Amino acid sequence: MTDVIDLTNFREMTDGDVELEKELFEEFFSSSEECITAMESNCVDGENEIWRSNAHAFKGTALNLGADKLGQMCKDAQEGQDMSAAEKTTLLEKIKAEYSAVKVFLEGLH
Amino acid sequence: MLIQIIAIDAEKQIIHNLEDITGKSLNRNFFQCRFSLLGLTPPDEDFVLFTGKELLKDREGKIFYCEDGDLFLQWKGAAKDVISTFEEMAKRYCKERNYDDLPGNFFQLYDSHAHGEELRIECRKKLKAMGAIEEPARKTTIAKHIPVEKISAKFSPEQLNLLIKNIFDRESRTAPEILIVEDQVFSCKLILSVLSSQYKCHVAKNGREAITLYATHAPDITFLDIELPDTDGHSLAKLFRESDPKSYLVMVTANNHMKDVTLAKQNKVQGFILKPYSKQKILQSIENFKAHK
Repeated sequence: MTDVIDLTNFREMTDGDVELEKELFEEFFSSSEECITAMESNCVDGENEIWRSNAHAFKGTALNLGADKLGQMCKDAQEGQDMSAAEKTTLLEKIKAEYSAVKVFLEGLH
Repeated sequence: MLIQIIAIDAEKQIIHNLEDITGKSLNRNFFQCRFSLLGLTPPDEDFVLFTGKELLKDREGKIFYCEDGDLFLQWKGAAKDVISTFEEMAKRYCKERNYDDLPGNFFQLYDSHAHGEELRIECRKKLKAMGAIEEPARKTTIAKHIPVEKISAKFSPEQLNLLIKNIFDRESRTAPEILIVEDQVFSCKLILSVLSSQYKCHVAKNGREAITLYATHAPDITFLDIELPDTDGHSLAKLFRESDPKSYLVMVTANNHMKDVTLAKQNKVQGFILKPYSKQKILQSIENFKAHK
């Protein structure tokens, strides 16, 4: 376990299947980057369904992986869908930084 | 014998090759010498040509220079004699430049079938470090929200007839069949990793597919994500409950909203999972179903 992620739960489900883990990591990267791109395009003032739904999707994936801090940031983003554009931009930068830390950690595993 | 020396954009050439061969049994191998670790520029062309001719002989092969100093040797066929001779030559080259002790990872063999993915990842890292892969540009325009067509959660008359027949047939099943309604591929694969080895599972990524699969298979247990692109899990739960009084429904969500719990109770679902998934939560739901039955 590290600060960025706790894979205990995840590995219990994958049961030590390394190929499955690699596949799921790639899926996590792919879906996360799609969510980030969509949120980047929707850093606007006030309610925005694309921002909210992508933050929600990102949250679920992060939590299922064990990246709790990243999941919590996404939850803040989801629940703060009526923030200003500036606030959303700031939060998204934090999310991207945390995601990068998670990605670096996972890429170093296999 | 074919020796091709590529000095420019070597990594890009390698990746191009790898994307062709990764996972395919084409009996191609890569051998990497990490001269970059020593800060050595790649050996000069005469050295490489000589090495290549001595090593490759009648084999088809390519030698790639990389801008950071790494050398990749690619050839078709058996590996061992090529590698040992090339290692010897590379060590001699390094020793002549006062590098006696080479790092443990200086040499790396990649069998295209077994290790293609590792080399692909390594090469992509190098490309990114070189700035050869561009990150997607930040979009400054607002993406148009094209809403997914929402559906009305109901069975067609044909689906209803099919469901009635399948509910009848379900009574003679010896093992439960499971329907997973989840739009996120990652989460779906995760839950399948726990269940699919023991149970027959069907997967729907939206409400429309969920309705079709429910009618077609009359699952014994349904895991229902609440937030779906074309409807919501509560509407589906209400439909399945009303059409199939013996349905066993487990709602799943990453939101901890009381309203979801309230709606789930109104629809008389039998279980509720708050993400993250865990093996224990998923298997407990199955055990609860068996006890309920």
